[in-house]
Amino acid sequence: MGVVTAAVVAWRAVGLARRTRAISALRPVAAEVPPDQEERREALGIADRLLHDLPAAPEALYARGRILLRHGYGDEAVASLRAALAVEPELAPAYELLGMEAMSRGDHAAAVPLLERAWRIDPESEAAGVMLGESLANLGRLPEAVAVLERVVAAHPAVTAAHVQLGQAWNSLREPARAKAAHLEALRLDPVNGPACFGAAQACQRLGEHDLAEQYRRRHLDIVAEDRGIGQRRIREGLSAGESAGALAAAADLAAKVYAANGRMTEAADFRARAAAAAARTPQPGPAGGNRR
Amino acid sequence: MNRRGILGLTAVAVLVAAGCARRDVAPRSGASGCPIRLDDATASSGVVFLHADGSGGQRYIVESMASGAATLDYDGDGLFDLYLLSGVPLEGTPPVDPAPRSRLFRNLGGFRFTDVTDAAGIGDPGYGLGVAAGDIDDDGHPDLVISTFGPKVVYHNNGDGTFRDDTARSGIDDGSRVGGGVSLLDADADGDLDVYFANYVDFTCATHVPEFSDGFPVYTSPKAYDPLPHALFRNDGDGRFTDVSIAAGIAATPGPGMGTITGDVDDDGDTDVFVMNDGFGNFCWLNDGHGRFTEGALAAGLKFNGDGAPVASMGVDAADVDGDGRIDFFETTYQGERPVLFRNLGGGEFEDVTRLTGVGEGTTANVKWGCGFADFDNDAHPDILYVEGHIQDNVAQFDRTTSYEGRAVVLRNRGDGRFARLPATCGSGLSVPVVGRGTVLDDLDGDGLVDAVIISSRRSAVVLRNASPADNGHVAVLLRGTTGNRDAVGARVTVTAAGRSHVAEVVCGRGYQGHFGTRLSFGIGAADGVERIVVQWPGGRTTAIDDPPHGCTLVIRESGQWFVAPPVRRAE
Repeated sequence: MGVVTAAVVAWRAVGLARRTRAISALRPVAAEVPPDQEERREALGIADRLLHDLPAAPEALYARGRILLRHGYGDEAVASLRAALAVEPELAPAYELLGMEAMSRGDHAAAVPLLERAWRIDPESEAAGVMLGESLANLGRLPEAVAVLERVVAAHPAVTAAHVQLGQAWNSLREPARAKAAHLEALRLDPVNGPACFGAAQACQRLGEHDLAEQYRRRHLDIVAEDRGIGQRRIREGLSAGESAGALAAAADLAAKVYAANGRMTEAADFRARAAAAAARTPQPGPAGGNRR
Repeated sequence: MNRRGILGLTAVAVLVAAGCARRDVAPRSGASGCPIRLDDATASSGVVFLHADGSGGQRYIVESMASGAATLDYDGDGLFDLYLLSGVPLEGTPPVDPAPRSRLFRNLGGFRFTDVTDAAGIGDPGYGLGVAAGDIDDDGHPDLVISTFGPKVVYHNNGDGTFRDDTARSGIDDGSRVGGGVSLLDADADGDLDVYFANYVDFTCATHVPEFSDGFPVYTSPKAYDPLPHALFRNDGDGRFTDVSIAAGIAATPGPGMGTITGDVDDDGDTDVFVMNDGFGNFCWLNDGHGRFTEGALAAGLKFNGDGAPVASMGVDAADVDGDGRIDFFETTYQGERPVLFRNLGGGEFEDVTRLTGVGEGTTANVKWGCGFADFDNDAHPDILYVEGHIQDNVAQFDRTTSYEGRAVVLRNRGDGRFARLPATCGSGLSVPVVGRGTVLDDLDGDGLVDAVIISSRRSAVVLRNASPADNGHVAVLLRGTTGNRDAVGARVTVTAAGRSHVAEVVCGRGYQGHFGTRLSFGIGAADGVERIVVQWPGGRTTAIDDPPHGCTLVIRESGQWFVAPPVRRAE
C-alpha cells in the first residue's frame, strides 16, 4: 500500500469514526412528551423514526433536525444537523438551519460562518443569502451586508425579504435614496410588508419627503393594527390550540420526501397520508413574523 | 474673571468634607480579568423576600407580569432602603400562611437589611405591580405610589419611620385595573409632583382567555384583551389629586402599558413621558409645558424598533450612553426580540442603534424584564443590566431553546460605541438563576459602586453586591428642589471630568415598573477630579459648581447651596 493510499484509508477511518460518534450521540425524544400531547408526540415520533430507519442518511438527519428545532429541541436539533454534516460535509441546508438556529439565539457571530458556508456551497439559496445579510447587519458589518444582499437581489429579484434587509442596511448606512429604492421594490412585491413600509418612511423622512414619509407611516400603522387584529382573533377563537397539527403536517410531509428519496415508497405514501390528515386539522395561519406574544 | 464669575454662578460650598476625594474603600482584586464583578449577597444581606404571583394553575395574564420594586431612603439616613412588591393569591388560588405581601426592608448599613414592614405600617396587601417613590406632599420625606391588580395605592411617609395609607384622601382612583409602571413628574410645572399611571389590559379573572402553544396551556398574550387607557393625576398641592387624564390628552389612546420613564425627550424644557407598551407600539407623551400631552412616539422614532416591529416592550431606562450630552433609552423585550437601544439624535429624534452597538447580541433566546443603566465600574461609560425570566413556567415542555429561569446580564459599555456581554463568571451573582421581573440599581452600601436587587417571580429576591475593582473615581449627586418639585424630577445634571461630560436626568419611576436612582451616580474613570457640575433645574434655573469634591455625595439645592452628604454608616 502506497503512502498516499494509506493516508486516504486512515482519513476515511477517522471520518467514519467521527460520523459514527456523531450519530450514536443522538437519542429519541418522543417518549418525553406527555401522552395528552398527541400531535407533538407524533411529530417527534417521526423524528425518532427517521433516526431509527435511516441513521446514516444525511437528509434524514437534516429532516430530523428541522423537526426537532420546530418543536423547541434546540440542542438535539443542532446535534442532528452536525451528525448530518459528519456524513455529508457539503449539505448546505444543514448549515443554513444551523445558522438560523444561531440567529434565533441572537448569536450572529456564530451564525455568519455557518451561513457563509451554506451560501458558498449553494449560491442559489436565497434564504442563506438573506439570513447572512441580516446577520452581518446585526453585527454592524453593514458594507458586507449590503454586498451580500445586492448579490441576492440580483439573482432573486422577487425575494421581498432581500429587498427589505437591503433597505434596512442602507438606512443604517445613512443612504436614504438607496434605502428608499430597496423598500419601494419590496412594497411593489408585497404591498402590505410592514418593515418595508416602515423603512420607506424612514428613508423618505431623511430625504426631506415628509408627506410621502407620513403616507408610509400611516400605512405601516394600518398593517401593524391589522396584524394585531389577526393575532387577537387567533387567540380569542382558540386557533393557537391547533398549531401543533400544522407542525405535525410539516413533519410528516418532510419525512415523506426523505423516505421517497431513499426509495422507500411505502413509508413515503404513509407519511403523505398522515401529513394530509394533520393539515386538515390545521387552523389558518396567524400573523406573519413577530414573537409568540 | 474666573470661570465662576464668567458663568455668573451662585453656588456656595457650605461644607466640604475632608476625605471626600477618592473612594476610601480598599482596592479589590481585578485579577479575574473582570472589569465588573457582581456577587450574590442575598444570604448575608438579610433580605428575605419570597415573591408570589398568586397563581393557582389558571394562568391569569397578570401573574406573568408581577412585580416591580423600589429603592428609597424612607428614613432619611442616607442609605437606600428597599420596597419589594409581591402578588397575592388570585381567584381560585388557595390562601397560604403567611399571606404574601409587599415588604419594606430598612438598610442598616454594611449591606445589611431588616424587614420593617409591620413597624413602618406599610406592606400593601393588594396585588403589587408597579411603584414609584417621591415626595408628593413636599414635606421632605419620600412617599410611595403603587399600582396593583386592583386600585392604586398611596402611602404617605410620616417622617418618623412610619407610613400612612393615604389612598382615600389623595383621591387617586381610576377603578380596579391591571396597573403598570408609575412615574412622578411635574407635568404642569406648578412645582409639585403629578402622577402618571400606565395601565395594562382590560382583564379580570372572569374574562380570562385560555391559550395554548403546541397543545400546552400557556399564559395568554396581551393581544387577547383590549388595552387600557392610562391615567394622569394632577397634584392639587393639598395632599389631594385630580384625575386629568382626559383633559391632558392621556386617556384618548389606550395601550398595554408596562414600564415608564420621564425625560425631556424633545429638549423643550419640560418633562415628557416614555411608556413601554407590550407588543403594541410605545407611547411618547410630549408635554406642552402646561400638562397637556400629545402622543409623539412615531415621529420621535420611539414607537417601534428599527424594523418597524411593535416589540413587547417591558422595562425602560435612560442614560447618556455615548457621552454626547443627550439622554438615550434602553428597553427590554420578549423572547425572539432584541432589546432596543434608542440613540438620541437631538431635536426629539431617536434611532434604533441596537445592531450598531452590539446591544442585541445573544439576547433573543430569553424574555427580558427589569433593566437599568449604571456605570458599574465607574469608567465613565454607563453599562446596562437586565434580568431574564420567561413567563411560561412550563416552557421546557415545548421550547427548550429558552428557559423559565434566566439570570442577570450585564452589557458593558466599552466606550467605543459598542457593548459587550459580561461573562457569567464575573462574580457569583451573574450565575444565580432568577425568573427576573423588577430590578433596582443603587449604591446600597455607600461604597461608590452601584448594586442591584432583583425580584424573582415565585422565588426569593436576589441581592447583588458590586465587587468591581476599585480603580475608578465617582461622584454622586442628590438634588433638592425649592421652587420646583423637591425631588427635582426633570432636572438635568452634567458632570465634567477629564474634559468629558456626563449627563443624567432625575426621574421618579424607571426600569420595569419600579423606581431607583434618586441619587445620580457618575463614574469619572481615572480622572484626577471633577472639573464642574452643572444642574439645569426644572423652570430654567442653573447651578454650577467648579472643582467640586468627588468620591462622595453632593447634595445640591436649587438655591445654589450645596454640601457634602455625611458618610453613611457602615453597619448598625
